[in-house]
Amino acid sequence: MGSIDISALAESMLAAAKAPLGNLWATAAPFAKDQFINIAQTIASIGEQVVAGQLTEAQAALELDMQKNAAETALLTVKGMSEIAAESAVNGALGAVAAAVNTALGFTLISL
Amino acid sequence: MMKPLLRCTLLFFAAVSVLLLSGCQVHFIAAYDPVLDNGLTQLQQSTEQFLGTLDAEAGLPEASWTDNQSFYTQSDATLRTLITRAQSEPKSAIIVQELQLLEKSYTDLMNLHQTMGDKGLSHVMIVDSRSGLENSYKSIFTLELALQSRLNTAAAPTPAASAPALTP
Repeated sequence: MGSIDISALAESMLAAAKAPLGNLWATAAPFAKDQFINIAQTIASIGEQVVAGQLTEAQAALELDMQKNAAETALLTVKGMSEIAAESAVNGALGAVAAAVNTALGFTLISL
Repeated sequence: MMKPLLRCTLLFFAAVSVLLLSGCQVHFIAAYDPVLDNGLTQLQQSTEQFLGTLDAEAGLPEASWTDNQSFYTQSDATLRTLITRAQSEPKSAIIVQELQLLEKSYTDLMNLHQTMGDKGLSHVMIVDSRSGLENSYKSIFTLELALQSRLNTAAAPTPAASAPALTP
């Protein structure tokens, strides 16, 4: 059995996370990279333990599922952070025109 | 006197704002919830203590599946309570999904423990399981911190008063 390339594993997860985020990627990249490297290292360790007879395949599947859950949670956090960033951008745009709109209307329509 | 075109543009923007925003900030994701944050912190603490004790007792009868079932019952009850609380908040889909994945990981840990029966979890199993759980917690707390930062820097939604209280 060949060894698992931890860097390649982490890079694949990073690439999957990067595509949907577009310009928001820069915000989430440090967190995502750190998380995916940790997860890739543990996945490699699980594989080695099966080869060494320390884990059965059924047990390895349970441990792998925990890592998959962690990876999915990391992606969800990246998505959540991107939503906060988008929210901030929209509110910033509204804030930029709030005074002009409120003045034009004579009452406070946009309150930030 | 404001030019008609500018006035129309502003009025159009204002109308869209009324429809979309109801006169306040937009929120794409749920509010920071300190009760949820505290509940998760307590659950992680009890889990770390549980895994540490199991590691110290590896191979002893005290580490067996039979002697430790109550931990899984208790942690499942806590997670279900947290999920119910999160579900009561608007725009909480991401947070709910994260908690459901965490619940799955606790079930995986329970099933792993069950496969070992009287022997209990081995050291390597504890190391790997701890890594999985800690990575999940790290992601969840990172999002909670981001929500908390939003709370500190701008007007943000607050958790609904009707959200169920968490009893530790």
